[in-house]
Amino acid sequence: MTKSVMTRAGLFTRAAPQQLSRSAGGGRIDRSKPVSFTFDGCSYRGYEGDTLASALLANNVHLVGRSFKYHRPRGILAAGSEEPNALVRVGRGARAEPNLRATQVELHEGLYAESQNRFPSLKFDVGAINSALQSFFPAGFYYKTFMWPASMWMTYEHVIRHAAGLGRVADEHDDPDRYERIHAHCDVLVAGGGVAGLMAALQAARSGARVILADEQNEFGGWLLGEADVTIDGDTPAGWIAGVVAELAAIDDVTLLPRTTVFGYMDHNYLTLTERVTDHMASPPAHLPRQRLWKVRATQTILAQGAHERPLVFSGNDLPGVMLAGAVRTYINRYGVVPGNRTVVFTNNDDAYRTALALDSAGAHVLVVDLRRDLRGELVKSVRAAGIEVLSGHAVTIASGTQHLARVQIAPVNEGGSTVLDDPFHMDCDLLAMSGGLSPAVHLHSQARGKLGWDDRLLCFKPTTVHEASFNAGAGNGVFDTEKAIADGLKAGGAAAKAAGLTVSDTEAPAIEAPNQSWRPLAAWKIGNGYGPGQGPKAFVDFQNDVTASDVGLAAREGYQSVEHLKRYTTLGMATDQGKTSNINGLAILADALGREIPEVGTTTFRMPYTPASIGAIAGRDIGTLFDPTRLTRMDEWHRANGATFEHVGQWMRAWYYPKDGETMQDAVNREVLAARTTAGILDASTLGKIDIRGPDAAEFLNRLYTNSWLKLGIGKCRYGLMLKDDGMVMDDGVTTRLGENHFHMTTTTGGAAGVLDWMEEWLQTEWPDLKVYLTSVTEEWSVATLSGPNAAKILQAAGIDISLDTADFPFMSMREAHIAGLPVRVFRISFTGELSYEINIRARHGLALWTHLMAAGEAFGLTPYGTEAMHVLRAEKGFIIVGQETDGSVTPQDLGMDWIVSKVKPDFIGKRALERASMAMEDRKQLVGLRTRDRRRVIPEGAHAVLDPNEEMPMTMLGQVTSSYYSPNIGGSIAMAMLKGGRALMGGTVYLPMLDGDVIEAEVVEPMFFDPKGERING
Amino acid sequence: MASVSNEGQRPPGRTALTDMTVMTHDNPDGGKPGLVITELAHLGKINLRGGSDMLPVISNHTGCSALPDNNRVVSVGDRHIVWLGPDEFLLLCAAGSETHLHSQLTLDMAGIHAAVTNVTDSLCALSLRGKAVRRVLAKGCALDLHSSKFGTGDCAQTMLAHAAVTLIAHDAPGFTLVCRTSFAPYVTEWLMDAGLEFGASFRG
Amino acid sequence: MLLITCPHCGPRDESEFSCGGEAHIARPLAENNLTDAEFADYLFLRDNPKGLFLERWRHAAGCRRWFNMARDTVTHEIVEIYPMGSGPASQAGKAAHAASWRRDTAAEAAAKPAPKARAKKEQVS
Repeated sequence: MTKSVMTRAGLFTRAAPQQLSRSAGGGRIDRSKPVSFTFDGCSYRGYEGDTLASALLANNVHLVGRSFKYHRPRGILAAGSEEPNALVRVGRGARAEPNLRATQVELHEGLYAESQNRFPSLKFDVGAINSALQSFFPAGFYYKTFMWPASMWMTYEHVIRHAAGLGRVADEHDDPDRYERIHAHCDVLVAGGGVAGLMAALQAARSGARVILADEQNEFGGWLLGEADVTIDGDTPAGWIAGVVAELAAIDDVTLLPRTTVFGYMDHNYLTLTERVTDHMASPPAHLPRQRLWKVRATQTILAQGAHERPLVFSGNDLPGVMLAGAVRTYINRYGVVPGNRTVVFTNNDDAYRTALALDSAGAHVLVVDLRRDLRGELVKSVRAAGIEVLSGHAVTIASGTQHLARVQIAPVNEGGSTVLDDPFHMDCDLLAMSGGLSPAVHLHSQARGKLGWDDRLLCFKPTTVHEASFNAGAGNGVFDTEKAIADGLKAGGAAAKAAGLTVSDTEAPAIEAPNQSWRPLAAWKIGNGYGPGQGPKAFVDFQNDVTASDVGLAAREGYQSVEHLKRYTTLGMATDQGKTSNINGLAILADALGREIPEVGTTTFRMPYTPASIGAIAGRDIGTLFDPTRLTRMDEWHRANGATFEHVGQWMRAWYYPKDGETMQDAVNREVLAARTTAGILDASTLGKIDIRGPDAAEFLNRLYTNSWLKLGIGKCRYGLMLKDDGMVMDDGVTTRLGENHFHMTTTTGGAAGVLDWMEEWLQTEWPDLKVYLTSVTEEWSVATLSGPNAAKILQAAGIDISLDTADFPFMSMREAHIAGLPVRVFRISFTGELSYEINIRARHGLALWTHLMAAGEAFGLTPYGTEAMHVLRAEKGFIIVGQETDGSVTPQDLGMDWIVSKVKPDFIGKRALERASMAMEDRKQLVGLRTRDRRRVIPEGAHAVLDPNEEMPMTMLGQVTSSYYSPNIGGSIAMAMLKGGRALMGGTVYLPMLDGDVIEAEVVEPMFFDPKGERING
Repeated sequence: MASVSNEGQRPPGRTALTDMTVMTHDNPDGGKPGLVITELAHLGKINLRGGSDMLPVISNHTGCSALPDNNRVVSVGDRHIVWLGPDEFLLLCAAGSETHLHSQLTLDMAGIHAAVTNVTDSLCALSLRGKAVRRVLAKGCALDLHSSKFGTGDCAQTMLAHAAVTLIAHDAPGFTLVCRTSFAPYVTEWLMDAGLEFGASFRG
Repeated sequence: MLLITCPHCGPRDESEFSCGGEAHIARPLAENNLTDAEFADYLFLRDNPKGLFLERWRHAAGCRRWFNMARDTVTHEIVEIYPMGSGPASQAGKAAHAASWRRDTAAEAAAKPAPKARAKKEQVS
């Protein structure tokens, strides 16, 4: 006992009890490294190499949870990921994680775990009243009870939600741990590192394949790690495994992933794996992720996940102390834990006899109860030779005890175990190891839409045909025998390597010595208990979802004959468990109830994840600033330094407004808007999409793309264009400039930039491949400063521009190349404000320099930077639309009153034919209008709906919605634009905008043009 | 192919990463960082769109004898022609040489259907070196980056986390990464974060 | 996640691509005699078959080229990938193309230039 253990256990909590059930020696635990941990507030000790389950069992703790529905006491059933009962919450505070299987939680110093689904404590749980009332909780209870009246559903839902759900998430919601994702590719992915998987990986790797071998446990070897009666090439299983792992580890192109669960198998051999990187460490280093999600694209996969042992379905089979026989053997051999002293092995097959021998060797008293009558074979002989009593043709009919198994009732039964033939006898015991045969873990195979076939001899579904490029091997393929499983793995490894285009290595299978046993179980699905049908203590099929044999029978009688319906109705095979231990028993009992064969009933669809994957690993580093890129313009530094507030426009951050000390947003925007009309404003317009268009057919292409005419646009001239989808609806707008005969510079909206380029490429590539046009995005090549206002030209002159700005030399809607401060610029005389306006484009590296230079030159003129909010107000004063604000994908140019931009003479353009549809001419289409509030100070909230009669009963007849609305300091009142049904016909009339608080805003319908209607300010 | 270097003159002006501070995560195992990020500031970049009739002109100005095959790079000296698509290439050249090269190419291609566009300021080029480069990239890139599948002289346009990037593999364990300038700060931050377990540095 | 072989860039994850929906929908010329209902076959109606589907895809995160793909919507098997402007080459693809209700629509007929106009266009090019 080390000092640190003494300190933790001795000073801060009450003394840890002895590990009473720990064997004297053996196992793959490191007895020189004791570990202390806490479960439900008690401190215990285990060893490195333990799982939480094995350590609890070593401490004689069997009761580890309460069941989902009836709150029945439950213990540890299994030793691996198939564990349905022992779900625990591990960690504290923000690190707490619910629903972990104690059988998979590796012990480390200071591990903190709690049981779940109990209140106030595990031993005294008030929810267990459900168990007393169990006849009131039949299959489909919730569906039946909470159906009516419908109006009560909200109340029911609240109650159900409180009672439902497994476990409790972390108390704090900011997960402090780091999670990562990684992509990987391989020739062969092997899922499962038991004998078959190891052999398959070895063969593939020796053949030169890039191999990924993943296993959910902390070390490779699978079941073999729990077998003491096998030798491989004369070596112990552990010795042989170590050799194989060492060889694999030495190969560069082999990736070994222990503690990694392959949980999802998607199309085209795409698999997802969760690697638990540091969960087993007491103090994980900060640079490592806690978990890592692997996304693997495999050329071939080998599924070698092994098999799950089935429970037997008898009354009281869910008591703590009732365990799977194979698990008991694993606890003894792998973990050095003997989970009982007076033990009963209850089986329908040979394999449990190995457990009987292991128990006997460990010093326990053993009685074997075998459902089979005719007992043959070496294992039976060995067991009898060891002096162990064997009862053939008998069954454990009832197991009983309060919180732990105390007694079993044993009786002779008929062939299938369903009928008790004679009086039972009772026996006291503290462990029952049951074995109902093996079910291959076909989850991944089934996720990948592989087909299953029923094996009448082994009584299980096993893979038949695959859908993806995959192979099954070993126990997961229905090959349970160790020697045959190794051969199967070898074969699959070779086949996968060959399928991946490699030359298969000459590898021989190792020589195996293992007990000679039959793998054929007796079909005995529901063990009788001497009571009438459905009577007597409950016999559980699905431990995790508390589904009993009677529930399955009841569901069948109520007409749930499809296995998929049975699943939903009874919840059989749902939740974290995905039916690992329950599936086949449930199907068999359903088949029996329906009088059908098991293969006729079929299986439910297995869904990912195989075992739960944490959301953190799926999110990876997509958190915080890495969640989504933030794009900044090259003038951003100035905006930030000068107190701008920002708004998101797609991924871009644009300066929204620049408040001065003490200014409200409205104050700042008013100041910016006034400045642009009285002296000059400057806007960072760099985010506008820019597309360079070249080729002899460039003009023709634009002619088809835009609604207006482009063939005759002069070089150096600019033109506004509206782009439609082929359904005639406005999709984008912008100004395009002819730089040369075959060369254009297009601008798009900020949000539309990528979409418009894609749209143009689509037409060029798919519809008009004969057009000779090339497109190149130059959005980020140019930084753009827009100078707007009566003093714009003076400021440009002060900035030293080297061209004449006279309107005659440089008219509206034209472009000039020039220099400012010696730097080449392209200046576009276009205007989104109605003022004299210049859009100055400069190579992005000089963007900030241009901006600061213009600010300095404009200082004497009171040049005012304005943001996107002022830009919106300025354009709304002029009635200019913003695509995506006035439009929503259902608006035509005519709806916007922009008929003028739609060519009547062009033979075709995108959307032309659609605009001619009869429905496009309907008078009740929503049309763009301006709104002038009667109360001039009142600004209508954007999105407000307009009605003609504010006193109409609800639901009112709605005309449409306000799309833009601002206070305009230039007008001295509120302005708004709206899309109203038959809006043009309402011109001059009054509409009403009812508010949520009952208030009604009254507004006159006006032309959407509030300022300088004649456009007299455009030349300054 | 030798790596892309940036030995040309450095014209004045800023890049998207000018303000990014030098960052380092120490290699937890000691030694050099597994990832070293360096900005190839102002590396010349010219986008070429056109067919094989561009070859004589390109050849004349770069010395290359053929346009690159799909997903390949052709390099002559400090000029690299990166395949982007069936009719699209990215020409990388020394900082400062792109303006003249762009004019020359434009002039010489006047007779053919082609588009020569200076995108030097549109795109940011980063040099990525160090032992862990492939492993770091694999955290955000779905391509098979195994040296047998993506080796010297290979290139690809793909996604790195949420950014569109062009990756170019060099013979040294290094890559050149090209992305839109507005994504460069995100890409750099992402790379530094992904490199945490191997040690990473950004030298600007 | 599908593995799609871009005809130019090779096999890439589906997430690098965008799907453009049903392929081989010919666009009627704007000047046509189609009724609105007939035009709607082109504009609005899209197939959604169970089985082989001829689709348009684009390598959005790579070379940005469009191509056609014959994909089984049940098995997700990609039967063939073929260039824009051409039809499927596989037997199954040809059968799916021929079996489409669209082949008989007035909208599709209106997409083809009249024989005379076509001849003229060829001369020009």
